[in-house]
Amino acid sequence: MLALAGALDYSQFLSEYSRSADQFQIGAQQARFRDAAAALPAGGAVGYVSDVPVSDPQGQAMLGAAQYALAPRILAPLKRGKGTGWVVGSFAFPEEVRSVAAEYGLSTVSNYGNGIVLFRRERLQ
Amino acid sequence: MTGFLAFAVPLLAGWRLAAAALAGRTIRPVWAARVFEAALGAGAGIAISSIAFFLLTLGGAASPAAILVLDAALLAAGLLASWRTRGRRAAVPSESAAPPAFRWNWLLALALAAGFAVVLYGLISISAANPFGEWDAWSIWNLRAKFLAGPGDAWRSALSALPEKAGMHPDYPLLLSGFVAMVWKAAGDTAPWVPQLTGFLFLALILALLGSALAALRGLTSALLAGFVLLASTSFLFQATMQYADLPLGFYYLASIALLLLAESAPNCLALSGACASFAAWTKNEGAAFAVFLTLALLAVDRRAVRRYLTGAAPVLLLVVCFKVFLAPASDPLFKQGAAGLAQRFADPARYVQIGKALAVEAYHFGQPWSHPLLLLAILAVALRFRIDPAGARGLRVAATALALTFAAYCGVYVVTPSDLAWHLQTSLSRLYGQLWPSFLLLVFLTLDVPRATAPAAVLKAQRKPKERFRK
Repeated sequence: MLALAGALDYSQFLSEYSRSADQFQIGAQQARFRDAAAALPAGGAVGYVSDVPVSDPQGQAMLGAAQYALAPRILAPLKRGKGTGWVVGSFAFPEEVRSVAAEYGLSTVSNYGNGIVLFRRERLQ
Repeated sequence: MTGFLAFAVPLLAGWRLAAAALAGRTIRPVWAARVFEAALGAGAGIAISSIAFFLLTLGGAASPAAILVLDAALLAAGLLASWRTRGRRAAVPSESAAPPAFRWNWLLALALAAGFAVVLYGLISISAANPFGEWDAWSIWNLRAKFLAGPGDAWRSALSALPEKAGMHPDYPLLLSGFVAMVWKAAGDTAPWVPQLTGFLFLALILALLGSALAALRGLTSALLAGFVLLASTSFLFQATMQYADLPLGFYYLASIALLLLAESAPNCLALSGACASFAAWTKNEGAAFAVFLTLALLAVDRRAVRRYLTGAAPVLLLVVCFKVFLAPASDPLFKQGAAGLAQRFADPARYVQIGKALAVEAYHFGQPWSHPLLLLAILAVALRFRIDPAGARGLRVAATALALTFAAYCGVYVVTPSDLAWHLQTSLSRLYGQLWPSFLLLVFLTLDVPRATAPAAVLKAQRKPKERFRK
């Protein structure tokens, strides 16, 4: 009886929790990155930039979501003066795109909106 | 459709292979034997197909067609093996079909099914709302599956040694990611239903394996009571929605231990026990520790038993060693820390206090306060009292030693982890409890007495005839 009553109680908790279960919005990220994924090569390494540092918990979540959405490409956070080729940007504040692009020497290929931008870096700065 | 076939065929193949391997063994009652072999076989099928897919990938031959051919070959092998042993299956005596003595078992079963239906509905709602699982699902297990299922050399990224990919734990073995990747590769997409269904499948397999093993070793009433305790283990049940490897690991621990205990009447079960321990090592690093501890515990009891056990364990353990040495060297900071840091953490008493507190807190949160599984076990212990079947005492001791050593190793890792201890405990301890919980329940119910009025005649008869274990 205790176990059954506990099961009923737990099912109510589950019902409430299901309303906020996808707290990192991983499902939404799949749609957010869809156009960028279509434009990128099917595999290989891709640079990653963001206005939120990857050392920050929110930045880690943003990088993780981007990595999952764009796998099997492998994302590597961009470093100043290192790496060329495709770079994907995920921005919490899209108005930061221009300054981040300038900081890393990136040229914009396509801005898909919703904070997603595809860049190229041809030359190191 | 292709994805569904790639998912289902390994389960069917494993079922037939397990049925063949267990054919003629004296597992009673017959329904328990059938459920046991189906659950064991489905888990074994997942492990075998995951390994085969990994080898195909390594050889550059993984493609949807190759996966379907592989599945067909596995199924053919299973059907052939079970056809060749069909005569032995018919030899099972009719005594095993003896009805349980407890007349209200049907009511217990009905109540248990209703309880699980209610909880499963809630868990499925969570999974539907969060189809990509929890953090480690999309940052480790399913991410690595996406790499493995990718085109060309993309699979190498699952083992990437890039420092920024250390959080993906590229040194973790590949049972879960490999199985999910195999289905994804065959289907040509990365639909979330595959890891979702895999999580729930392993929960169902644990339920089936625990119930059938207890029904065979202790009677149906014990199996049903264990089901109620599992139903109250809410933190454990939630793991079905997470899409992590802890539930599969818990399944392989349980399978290995259940087979070890069944080896009393069927010594060849020891080889299957070893195989399941090696599948645990292919699931997570903790599984390798478990396989070693089970070997050591067996070694202390019976060297001949160890030989049989290692016959089953060796092939996959060898694969795991090769994987670790040649493909995915340890990248975890735990294995890279210096001796000075290790000694400092080892000698810090505050860490032990912190770990002790966390052990208690997580144990408290393992269920609802007033229907807590430990409270239910305490009530059952008072009501039923303890009585260990002398015939099974040695197997119990071996299994309990292996589990205790595994748990001690978990605690040891917390003592020396270079990661932030509070974070490490908070993000992993409940899952570690979950890994050990089904096996722990099996052992507890084997030490609890069978309600006298409820014991099936076959169980009571077996209890009166203690016999030597393992030595056959």
